Amino acid sequence: MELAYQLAWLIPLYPLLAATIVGLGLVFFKEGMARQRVFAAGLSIGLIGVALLHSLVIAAGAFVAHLKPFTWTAVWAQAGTFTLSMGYVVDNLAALMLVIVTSVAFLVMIYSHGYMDHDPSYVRFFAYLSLFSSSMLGLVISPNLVQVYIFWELVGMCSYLLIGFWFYKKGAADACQKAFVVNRVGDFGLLLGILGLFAITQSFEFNTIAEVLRERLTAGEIFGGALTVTILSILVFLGPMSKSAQFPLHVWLPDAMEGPTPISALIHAATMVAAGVFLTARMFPVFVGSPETMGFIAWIGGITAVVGATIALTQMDIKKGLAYSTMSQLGYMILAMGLGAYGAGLFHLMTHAFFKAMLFLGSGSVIHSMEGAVPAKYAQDMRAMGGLRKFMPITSATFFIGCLAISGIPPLSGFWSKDEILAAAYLAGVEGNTSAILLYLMAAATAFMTAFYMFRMYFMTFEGEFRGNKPEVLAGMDQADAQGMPIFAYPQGASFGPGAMHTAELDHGQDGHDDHGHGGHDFHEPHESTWAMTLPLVVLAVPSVLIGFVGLPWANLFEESIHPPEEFVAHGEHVFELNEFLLVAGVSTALSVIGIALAYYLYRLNPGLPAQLAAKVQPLYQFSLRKWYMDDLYEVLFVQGSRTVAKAALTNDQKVVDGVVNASGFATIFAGEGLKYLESGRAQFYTLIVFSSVVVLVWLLGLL
Amino acid sequence: MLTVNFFLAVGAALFCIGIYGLVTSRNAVRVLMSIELLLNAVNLNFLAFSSYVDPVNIRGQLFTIFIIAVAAAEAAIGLAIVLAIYRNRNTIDMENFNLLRW
Amino acid sequence: MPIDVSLLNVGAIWPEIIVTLTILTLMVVDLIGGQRVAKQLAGLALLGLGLSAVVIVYQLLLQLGLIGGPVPPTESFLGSFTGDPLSLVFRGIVVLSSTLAILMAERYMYQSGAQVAEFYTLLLGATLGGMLLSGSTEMVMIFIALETLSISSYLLAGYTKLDSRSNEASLKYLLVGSASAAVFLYGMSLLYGLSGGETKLTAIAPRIVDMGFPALLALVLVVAGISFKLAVVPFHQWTPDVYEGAPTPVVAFLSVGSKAAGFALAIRFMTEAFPAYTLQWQTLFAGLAILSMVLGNIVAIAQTSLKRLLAYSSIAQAGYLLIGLAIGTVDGYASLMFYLITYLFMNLGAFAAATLFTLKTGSDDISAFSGLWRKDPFLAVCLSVFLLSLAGIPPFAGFFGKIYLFWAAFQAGAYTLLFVGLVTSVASMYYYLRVVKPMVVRPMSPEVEAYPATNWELPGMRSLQVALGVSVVATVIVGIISNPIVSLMNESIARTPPLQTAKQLSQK
Repeated sequence: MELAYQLAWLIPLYPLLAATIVGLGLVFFKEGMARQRVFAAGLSIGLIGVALLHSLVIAAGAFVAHLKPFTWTAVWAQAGTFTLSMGYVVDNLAALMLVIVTSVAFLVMIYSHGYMDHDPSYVRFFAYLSLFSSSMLGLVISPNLVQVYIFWELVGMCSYLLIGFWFYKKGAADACQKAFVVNRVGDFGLLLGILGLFAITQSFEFNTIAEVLRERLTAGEIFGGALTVTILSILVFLGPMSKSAQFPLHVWLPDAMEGPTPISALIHAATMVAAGVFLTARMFPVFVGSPETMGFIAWIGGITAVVGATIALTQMDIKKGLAYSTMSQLGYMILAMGLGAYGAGLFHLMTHAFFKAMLFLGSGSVIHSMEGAVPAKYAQDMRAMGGLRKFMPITSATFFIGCLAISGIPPLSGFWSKDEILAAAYLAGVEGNTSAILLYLMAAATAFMTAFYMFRMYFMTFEGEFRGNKPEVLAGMDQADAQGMPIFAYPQGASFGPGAMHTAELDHGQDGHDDHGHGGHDFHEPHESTWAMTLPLVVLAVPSVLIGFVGLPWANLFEESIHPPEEFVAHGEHVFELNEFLLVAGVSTALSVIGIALAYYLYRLNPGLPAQLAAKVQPLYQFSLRKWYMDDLYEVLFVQGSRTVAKAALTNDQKVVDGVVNASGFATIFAGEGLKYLESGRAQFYTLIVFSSVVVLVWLLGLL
Repeated sequence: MLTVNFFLAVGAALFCIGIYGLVTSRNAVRVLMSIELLLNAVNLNFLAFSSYVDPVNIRGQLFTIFIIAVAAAEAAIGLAIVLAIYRNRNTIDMENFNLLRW
Repeated sequence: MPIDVSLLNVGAIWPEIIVTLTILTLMVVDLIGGQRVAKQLAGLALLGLGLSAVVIVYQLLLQLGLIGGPVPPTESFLGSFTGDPLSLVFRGIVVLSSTLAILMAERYMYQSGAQVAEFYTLLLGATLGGMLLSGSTEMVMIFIALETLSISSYLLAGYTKLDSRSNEASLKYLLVGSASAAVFLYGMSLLYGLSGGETKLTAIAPRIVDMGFPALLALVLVVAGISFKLAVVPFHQWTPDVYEGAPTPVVAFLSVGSKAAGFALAIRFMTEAFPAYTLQWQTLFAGLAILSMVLGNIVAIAQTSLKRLLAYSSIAQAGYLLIGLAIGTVDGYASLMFYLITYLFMNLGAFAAATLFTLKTGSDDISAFSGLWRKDPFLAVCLSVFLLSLAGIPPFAGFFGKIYLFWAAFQAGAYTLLFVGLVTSVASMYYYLRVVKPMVVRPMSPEVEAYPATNWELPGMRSLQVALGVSVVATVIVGIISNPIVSLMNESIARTPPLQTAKQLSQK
């Protein structure tokens, strides 16, 4: 196992090898390589499988054999006192992330084999996936901030490549641009923070930074004192904020759903967005040093959780709904970090990775089968679904498990991790932190909403009767969209009360199949996906159910292994108290059950009711539907605002700034054009220049 | 009494004449001859110094022999190049050699 | 006076002896074998260079104490030549550049139909001159080595003798070169006289302290002569014309091998003969560096031919290299040598790519490269890597080379040089990207439309492929493994006696 530790640097290289081979193949033998599907997929899946096994061995070493963290660094560049080292570190946190990333990536790749089967860019997709996995794995074993930053940008780059995978779709192209811009904001903050911390501590190593920072702060050697530290750590935190889609830098995540669904699962649910949480965990020792920063982090997390949940309530697009749910869950993790509940945050990161990957892959499976059943523009719309349980039993069963898990129903994994976060907030509140009480209330409300919207999603998609073959439903959707009230009471024939999905109804549905007139295209029924897609779902269902048991509040194996570096253990070491556990867990479970019941009432028993309700609280409904008007606000504030500023700047400074800039550009080019004629082509002129230069130099040096 | 300065002055004058010839001649062979003049100016310098400050080791005279040898090689190659140009272009007028410029 | 042969310490020039023997063998084999052995000559030349390189590496390791105890460098030929680590590094660079030049020349010679044997002989002659120049410590020796290098180079530049552009390049090179050599010699004659009859650099130094103007005159003349070899502004004007007219593989050697020898000469001459005028020569080179960086980069923008663009780029690169010399610290010399190594690969690589493209299309216009990506992704990727590296874009070698140079300048307090270097390297990205971008995004040019598929099996193509491959791999990885190389350079400088003064200066 020690050997596995020492060879940990191989883990990012396995998928990199696959990416290189496939990528180079694509560069040099375009057509030929694009046909080598089995080879590309086999190589990618095989190598990530090797990485998975290696990670599992490391995890066994870390969590079972309790090996010491292993760090290897080598000086990479040195100039005077400035040293930049590169290497890798394997500690428990890294081991955990390695297992999460490789296992999810492995399953997603298998899934992609089925999902991308009809795509002409199948091979390119696998190259990108491998490259992404490699960068993410490199990120988690980075021993210092510089290396983190390099991989951080690589991960970002892969994400843009993958969001814009179908670059010919306008939505995809726009989305990847948006992701790029928003992430720049965060990355710029991160870079500034890294440089600022280096200026103070002369180090890029996580632990050294924290120690030196603390020493110098107590010694009063830092200019601006604690305020500087707070500002710098918040700057660093801007990086995780953008990457983990925290309010107000979350706007790119839902748009990123334009990419292929396996990407949404891998990047925007399970791994890349987790990079932010991971970095927060790595920088935890630094953040702990500044209470203001911790408060800031907690509040950002809390707000994100609530905002995400409220927006998810009204989404009609199944992937967008899941995207906002992801954002909300990430808010939980960041909230936990901010409260000092390091282990709880990472615990939720782990459970969430599994069940959210499963949910996303499930939605992909649904979309895949819907694409053959309805016109493409309705394929992701839940209003056109319904009753899919009959057609796709495996998908619906796993999706149901995922919904239970994320809603926090015991004893599924989500319950244990979410409960820990709620307990941390509750405890902090009880201990006299007033803002923590507020945060607890927000988290509890989010738990309630989560249960509601997840089951709304489940009921609309899998229960009732299939609506996608009813022209009046599709027409009604178009009309509702045009009115800006996507929610609408389905036409009578499509209403789905109890018993609506009996066989007779299904037959009716099949009869209607021939009637609908969408361009004469022959649509067939939804169907269960191939084994390549269902197998990962089933496999993921196992940890979604069981993984929570490693973190039982009274026998918390997880937190025993995953804890911040020794000297910073401040929270989370409390003794288990049954009463308190029952109180917190009871409340959250009760809230979830109520949420599920409400969803059942509204979407199964009284399907007309939601539309009426929405009409009644029109402003609130629109507020959620329009995503808190964030996109519009940004449009006005930044896009148009910057346009206005730009216009003003243009009119005012056209002569000054433009003049100077253009002039210097033109001057350079003209100087180039002019000076090149000094090169007259006459050798004797050249010798003349040589001799006169000598004279001038002698004269100049004589002056010295 | 003849001091070393006289020899140096002649050497410098010869060097300047060489420069003048090098820069102004239109005939390529004359340009090559001007280069010989430059090298001979240097030779004169070395010889003068050799006699006046280094009469025992006479390193300067030794240096001069090397310079003469190398100058011969250079002249040979220069003439060979001029010959090649003449074959291709039928001219050795320096004014015409500006295919490569800018 | 009988001379004890063992005192000559002939072993120091083993690498040169091997190259000389190779030259002789080449001539004899060609004489006997004629056309039948023409194809084997390149292999023979490469073999000789390889052996020489092995000996160089062995001697370097020996002197650095990496194998066996460190052997202190000793003078050879009664003080005319030294095999110290500094010279070994530069001789290694010269041999390497010559090797790569031969690799890319093979196909070029085959296609241009010129005689091959003389070409390799001359190229090895130039290599021999460059190697000797790197280790010479006495003025007669310096002169002979310099002329060996120069005269071979004149001939190489005019090697395609039926091409009037090549003739013209050769003539210009010869005229400007001889004039510069005369200036250099004039300076050396003054040094000889002022020092009272000394020709050894280290012997001159103590005798010209406090000499004032005459010594400065000699300094300027010597610097002017060396600057011709370095191709720095204002002694650069032959460069673009010669680079454009001469055969591309020759240009590749001139731009790296010849320049490296020039830098070795500059470092040795300045530190050994002019330690008393350190301020003056540093100021002088700083001025030349600034002029080169500014002018080289600006004029490069206005070029339309890739070879001319690379010529101006090499002028600008010489300016960056001069930074290391002008600041005169140990870090400065080490980063100069490191940058020279990165420059070796990226510049030779760029010329190799240009050679391949010219061989296939007959053009080296920048506009002809449009859309190359679609027809020959391998060449497009290679050329992009070299140009981006020259522009100093991470993660390629050129970026690290520049970082080390600029960092050394920063530590030495040479802020003006640093500032000019930074600004001009940003400006230089413009013209490098002007080549890279059309290759990828523009529609195909007529030349590229008619581009034949690459047949690597043709005679000489494999060597070209090897040259490209080696350069591209080195350009990518040299930066990443920069640290061991730089510490090797530092160690070499620490074990080179004349640079001890520089070391002491930097420690102050």
